[in-house]
Amino acid sequence: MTTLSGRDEPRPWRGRFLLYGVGAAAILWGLRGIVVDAAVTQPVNWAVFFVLGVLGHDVLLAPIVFVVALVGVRRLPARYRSLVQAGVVVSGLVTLVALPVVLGFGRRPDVPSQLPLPYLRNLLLILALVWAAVAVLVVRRRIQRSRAVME
Amino acid sequence: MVLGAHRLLNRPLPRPPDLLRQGPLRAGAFTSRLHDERVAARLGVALGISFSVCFLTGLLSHAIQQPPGWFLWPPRPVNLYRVTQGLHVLTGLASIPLLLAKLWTVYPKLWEWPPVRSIAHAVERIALAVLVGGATLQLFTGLANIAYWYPFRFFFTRTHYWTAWITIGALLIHVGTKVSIARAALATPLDQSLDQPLDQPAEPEQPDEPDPPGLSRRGFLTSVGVASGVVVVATAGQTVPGLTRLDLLGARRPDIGSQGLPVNKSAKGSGVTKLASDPAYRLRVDGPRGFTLSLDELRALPQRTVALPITCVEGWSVGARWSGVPMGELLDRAGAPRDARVRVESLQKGGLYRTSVLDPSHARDRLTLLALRVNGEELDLDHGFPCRLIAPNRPGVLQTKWVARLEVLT
Repeated sequence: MTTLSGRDEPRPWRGRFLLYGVGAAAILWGLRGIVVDAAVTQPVNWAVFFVLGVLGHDVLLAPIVFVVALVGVRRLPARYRSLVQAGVVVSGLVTLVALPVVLGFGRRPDVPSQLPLPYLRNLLLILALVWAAVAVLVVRRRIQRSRAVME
Repeated sequence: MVLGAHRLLNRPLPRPPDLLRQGPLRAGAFTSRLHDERVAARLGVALGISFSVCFLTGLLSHAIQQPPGWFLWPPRPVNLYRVTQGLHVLTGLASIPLLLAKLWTVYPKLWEWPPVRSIAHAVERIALAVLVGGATLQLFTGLANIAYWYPFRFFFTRTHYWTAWITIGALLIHVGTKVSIARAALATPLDQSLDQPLDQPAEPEQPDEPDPPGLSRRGFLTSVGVASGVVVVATAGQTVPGLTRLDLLGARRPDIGSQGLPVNKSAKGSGVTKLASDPAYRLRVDGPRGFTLSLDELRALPQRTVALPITCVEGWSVGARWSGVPMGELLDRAGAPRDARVRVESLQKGGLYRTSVLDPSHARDRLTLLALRVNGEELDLDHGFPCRLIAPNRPGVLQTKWVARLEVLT
């Protein structure tokens, strides 16, 4: 990771101990709540999801992204690489956020107004718009380059 | 003593053998220029803002639903809760791309070598793990909850509330450890090259090489911002009037539902269909001069029409025209003191939101009704027939449906 330290090692901020104190107090307050409300917070199940959150990112999601990037990025033409990468970043992030409504696990037969939209179609529509924007930018870059070459 | 403790906490721990430094632990294992403190700092500022707004609006919503003794939530402005809860859900949604981008940016730090330099460093890393776990859990449970999906066994609201304290605490600690680095990083332009190894003397003036192909730091930040923006625009329509047509990914459309309003709990799901449609239905008002009313008697009382939003904690809201009997009239008739709180009880046999309490300012507000009609029609069973509570600036779960009894609390 590129760091700035080593150039001018910034002096640690003096007020940090105050934040440590308040932060630790907030953590303890929250933990106390989880324990006191154990009947509804289900501490064991909660802890499992807490750890799954860390592992889900660190050993599942992040490595997948790295492998995809490693395999994919180099195959893109250098000239348009950044634009396609931007398209992939936007598409990936929006798709992840949309996943729960697209999968629709929360639908209930007695409440049709819950999750009422064609979410897969809508997501594809958004992705189509994103890639249309990428295509426009690719064409624009192409025109700019050919102009630069002609000059 | 403080100095002694400080020294002990920061004393270098023995380094593990370098033989173990394999795979992602190797120096230079991560080559992308996007793993950069400047990117991390800028994402961090955005996350700091979105998490703060999300935390504060969340606390507020919690206080409204479980009011501590000192807390009074006013009935005006009528749309205030609509705004705060809309912000809560939208900032939470916007945080998801930001958080994932931030975690990716700093991912090489997970594999730093040596893994633990000192006790202080170990504590910092543990606090960071708490932050990552807490933030991930909050955003995941929030996202699942607004999609009515419950893959976990714990009860959402309370657990989300307590985990918020843990997360914000870990965030404060994280800010404390990073604030000076972040300040320096923010002051350094994104496109400045820092490529020479910093601990070696810089090579004599190299001509600037053209940027290698691929996403720049600025381009990456822009993409993440666009992703957050797209998510917000595609969901804000479930609460912001005027954006309804852009509501592509919201779990609700404000205009879809029986009588043009979304429904959260159906009559069937709440098991009240039979009781609510029973002609023997009576509203009971318990107070100094208690009385009961049949549905026809309720209809015969002077009616008032008000425009009020129904605002769900899940972040959707929609305005409607409600008609019914003003709450104040019923309370006067029952001889309730003006400063009395009122418990509103549903026909529901159980459930967390079977009853709700109106504080005096809400109970006596002229906009507060026992509504019989919505948008010019008699209430559907799913909207609370025969009558429901509708009051200004209140979460939907507290707008009790299928009202069977009002109790003046003294």
